[in-house]
Amino acid sequence: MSTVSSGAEAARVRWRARPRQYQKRGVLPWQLNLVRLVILLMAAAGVVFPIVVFLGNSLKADGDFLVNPLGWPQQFVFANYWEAWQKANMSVLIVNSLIVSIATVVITIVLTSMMAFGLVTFRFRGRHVILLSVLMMLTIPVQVYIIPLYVISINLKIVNTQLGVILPYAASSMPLALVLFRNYFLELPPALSEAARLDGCSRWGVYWRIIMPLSRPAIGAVAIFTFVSAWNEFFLALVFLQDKSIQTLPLGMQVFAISEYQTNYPLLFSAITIGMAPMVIVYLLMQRQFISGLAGGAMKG
Amino acid sequence: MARADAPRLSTAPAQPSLATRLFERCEPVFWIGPGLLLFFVFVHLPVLLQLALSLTSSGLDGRIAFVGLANFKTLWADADYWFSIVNNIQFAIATVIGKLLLSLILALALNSAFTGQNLFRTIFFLPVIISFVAIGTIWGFMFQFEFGAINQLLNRLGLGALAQDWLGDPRFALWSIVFVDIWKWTGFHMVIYLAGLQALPRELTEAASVDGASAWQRLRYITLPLLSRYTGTNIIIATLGAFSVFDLIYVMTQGGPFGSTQVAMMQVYLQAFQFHRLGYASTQATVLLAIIAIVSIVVMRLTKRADEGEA
Repeated sequence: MSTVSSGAEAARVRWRARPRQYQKRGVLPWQLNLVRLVILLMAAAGVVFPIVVFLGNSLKADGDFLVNPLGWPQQFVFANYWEAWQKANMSVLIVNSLIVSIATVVITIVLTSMMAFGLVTFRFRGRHVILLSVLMMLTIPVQVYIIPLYVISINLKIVNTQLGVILPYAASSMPLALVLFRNYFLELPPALSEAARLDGCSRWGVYWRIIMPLSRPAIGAVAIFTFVSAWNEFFLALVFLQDKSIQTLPLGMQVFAISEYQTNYPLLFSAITIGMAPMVIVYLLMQRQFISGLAGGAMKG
Repeated sequence: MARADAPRLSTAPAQPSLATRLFERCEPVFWIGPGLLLFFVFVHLPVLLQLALSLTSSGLDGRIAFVGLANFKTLWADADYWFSIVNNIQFAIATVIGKLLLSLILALALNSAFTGQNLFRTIFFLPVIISFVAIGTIWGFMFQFEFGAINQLLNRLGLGALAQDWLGDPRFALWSIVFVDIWKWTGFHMVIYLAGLQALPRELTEAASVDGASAWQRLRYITLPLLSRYTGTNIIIATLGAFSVFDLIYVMTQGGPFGSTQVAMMQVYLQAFQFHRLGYASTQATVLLAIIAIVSIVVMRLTKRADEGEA
């Protein structure tokens, strides 16, 4: 987490330093400005309304919900949350999701940054082939090769283990991460690592003490998109994680939703709210880094 | 002095020991090897195996029999599969157009500094980070027939006649899911368009407005052409997502009612993990892979041409 927040600081500083050159007005007539405001308000309402109604219903008693599914709760039943937490096994699900997501992030960052460093530092035959063969897979979604992936995982005996989703998650994050790291490393001045080499620093020292500390923005961006996609991933979890004790949050929420509790809507809504709360809270705290990490990465890729 | 130094200077760099040379030769392997191995086992190999598996009939028990093109023949006659492909194409066209239009409108509306810009951006991007399971449940409730917020709202506004069984009626189910998918991703595409808008040279639109071009003309003849690269990125991302859509449909309708929301990945999942026909499911996935590859190549070509045409 520390790398993310320090990358975050750097991004914030850069944001402040940027001149706000598009502040000049007067190009649009005031009518258009009004139309613009109306459009934005309507769209924002469209995003917020379902979430607010959902939150409201999660706090109703079951009977209250059935007669009054749209209005304000007659009384706030916070006990729903405690009951949902226990019945849906939320603590287990959250811990599992944390394990899977953090392991995915660490593996992706370490292996991909080393790979990018190797591809940038060494000039050997075949390096372009390696780079291209990884980048070509950028546009192929994991879902499409799920069956051979499943067969391979059976042979590696990692089906129904957390490793069985961690490794494919990390591998599928690699093309985009490789693009980000490689572009970033290429922009660093080569004089830095050359000077360190002359001073007797080993290659590993150059990578660990010079390149990686300078690459915090890239590490932050990779960490964010890898973490969010691993945290929210559903399909591989559905196929690979059968044991309840190792299921991740999205899968556990779905299992809870189709279980016997689906007749008690407020309870289900409470469980889902608990499930999405951690990510929403982290997002609201660091929205700038999330937006640039998720959308910026996609743009470069 | 000089005689003592001379041999050391000449031999040391020119003749490194065999071990050092070997080490230097192998050093790239240390850096690239682990990552490449992981990527090969979990991406390259599956993609290659996919093609091989689609020529076999295999079950979950691990028995694999080569059947040649028999699977493709079955597939050709499989009405369910082609029905799901047609659904998927409808889904793709509708979501791509919807996401692009909405995100462009929002980006244009947001592209000027005013107080609250950041607040709106944060709100619009919020659905992007929420998982499909949560979104499926939220909108499953919104669309629910009896208690759902949409029908309740229509009733209160006196428009009860418009209330529908949004997810239970084959006429509406696919379009309801299209709507939810657009709801989730518009903020994402909007941020990409915003980046494009803020990279535009401001002088161009200002010069045009001095020359008397209307707001619409500036948009049509200056802004949109200059955004074509970002439009291309958006189209590619949205199209790829549309052809591999699964989560939302699995959570909201499971392909029903009456198969009206069956899509390609849903078919693959059913064949592989419900009916345990891994070989045939691989064939279906291979066709899907081919569709995705063709579509992304065509879209990349088109946007590249548009880009060069403008430049």
